[in-house]
Amino acid sequence: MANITTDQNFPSVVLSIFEKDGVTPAKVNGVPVWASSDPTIIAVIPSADGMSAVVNTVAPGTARITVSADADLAVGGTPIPITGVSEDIIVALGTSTIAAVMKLDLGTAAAKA
Amino acid sequence: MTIYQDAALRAEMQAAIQALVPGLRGLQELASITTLSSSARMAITDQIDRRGRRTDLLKAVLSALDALDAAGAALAVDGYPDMPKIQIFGPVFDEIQGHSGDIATAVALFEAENIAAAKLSISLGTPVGKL
Repeated sequence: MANITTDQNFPSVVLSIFEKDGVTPAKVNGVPVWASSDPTIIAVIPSADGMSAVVNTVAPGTARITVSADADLAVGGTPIPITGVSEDIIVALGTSTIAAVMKLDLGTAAAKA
Repeated sequence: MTIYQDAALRAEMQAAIQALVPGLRGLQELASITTLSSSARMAITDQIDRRGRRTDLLKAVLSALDALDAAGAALAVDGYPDMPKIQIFGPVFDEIQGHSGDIATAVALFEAENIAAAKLSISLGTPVGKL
């Protein structure tokens, strides 16, 4: 679970790809595809090689990032889909968008009707 | 070929051996005195032994330098650093060349293993204020 406000973003979200042991780095076929589970809460802007992204907050709520890739490295082979999901990203309202001043305008005094 | 001879080291070792000689000779003359007490004889003998041991070590360095020179000379005689191709009888050459096709075929039987990725991990990093 990661907390963030609408005033903030994640400027450098990094994708790591491993073999079954979870330690040895691996490759995928093609460019990984990034997505937001709810684009109205977080927006994802992936890099050209798909190995990193900028995640911008949009509005309060909870969302996740998913990354999909083809784990089959053989050219022309049957794609082996593989997907990674981030932890929950909880977006709270930032202070810059919270109303801080309320002003009452009394207008001009007039005789009671 | 460059022969790396450490003439300075050799000279130092030889000088050190020569420097030990007078003292050693004197100690041996002292040890020949028949009226020496056992303590004095023991002290003299100890000094003789130490100088003998030091001389042996210095000579070991000189022997190693000799071996280095000999090995370097042998390497030079062997033509180092050149390693020319060997000329062989035509039919023998043809026989060896004939195997090259088989070797290439055998090598082509292998290919690098494509290890499939099994896990994608997403690191969010630290949030920062929007610019």
